[in-house]
Amino acid sequence: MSMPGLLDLGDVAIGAAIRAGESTAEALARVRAAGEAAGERASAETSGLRARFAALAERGAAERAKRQAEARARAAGALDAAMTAVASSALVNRIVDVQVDRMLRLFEDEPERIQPLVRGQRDTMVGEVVGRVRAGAAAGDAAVDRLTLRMSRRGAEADPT
Amino acid sequence: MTVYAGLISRSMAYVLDALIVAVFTGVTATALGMVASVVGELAHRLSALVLSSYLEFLPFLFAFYCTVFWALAGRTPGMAVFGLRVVRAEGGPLGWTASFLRALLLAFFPIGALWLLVDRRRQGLPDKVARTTVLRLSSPRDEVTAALRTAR
Repeated sequence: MSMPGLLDLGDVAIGAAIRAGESTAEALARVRAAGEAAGERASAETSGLRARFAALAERGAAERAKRQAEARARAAGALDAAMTAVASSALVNRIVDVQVDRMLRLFEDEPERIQPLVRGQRDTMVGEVVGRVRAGAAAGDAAVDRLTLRMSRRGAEADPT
Repeated sequence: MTVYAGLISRSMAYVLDALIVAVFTGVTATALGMVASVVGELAHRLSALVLSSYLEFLPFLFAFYCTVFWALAGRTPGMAVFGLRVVRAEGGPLGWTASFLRALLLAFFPIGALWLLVDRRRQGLPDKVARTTVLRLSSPRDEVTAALRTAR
């Protein structure tokens, strides 16, 4: 193997430069591949973290709803118990008895104040029922009238005389 | 608003009146039969005869019922429920003769009333013969007006 001549030195330089470029490209490709792998790893870790956060949030919402329902049920139970205690207390019973006695005495002493109310209510109910019956019958009449009118017209059209 | 009553209103009023007469006479005949069965053999036989001829007498009773109500009030209870009133064709209340004639025809030949389907003033055969017509009064004010008109 002989030493290259002066003219061959230029080719050597070009070859060295190309080789250097190829090496650089390979190094860059390796760096890019390493970067992509690192990015994928980071993305996978992020999505896993996000899923864990979502599960935790779901659990938290469920627990909060459960606690609220329990608190509401406890409040309703306490309110019912309080109402029952008030309604069955001796004082309220006495007040109700007094008022009922007063109303019964009023009915007994002044029936003319109650009778128009009862009569008016009864008349209203009867009037409503009768009105509905009459309206239904009138609608039936109108339907029969329309039918007979249509049939008579058709008969008149069919008969040329 | 006063209009001529149609087939449905009049048929329903007719059925209601027939039901009233049938129930009333049925209850009466049954009560009489029960009383007669206790009183004696002759009364028992008489009640059996009345009960057996109950269906034959029913149209007469219906005609009597209609005659009385039309002549006195211009309407039967069934017609009152449906807001109907029977008047003379030229206006005014029905007399006893017209009421009787109309009631007789309606009790024994009810199918003749179907003529109202093709009549301009909704008059059936009994109406044509008795010269009457049936009005539908749609409000209490109409009823008062019609009552005053028939009273004149």
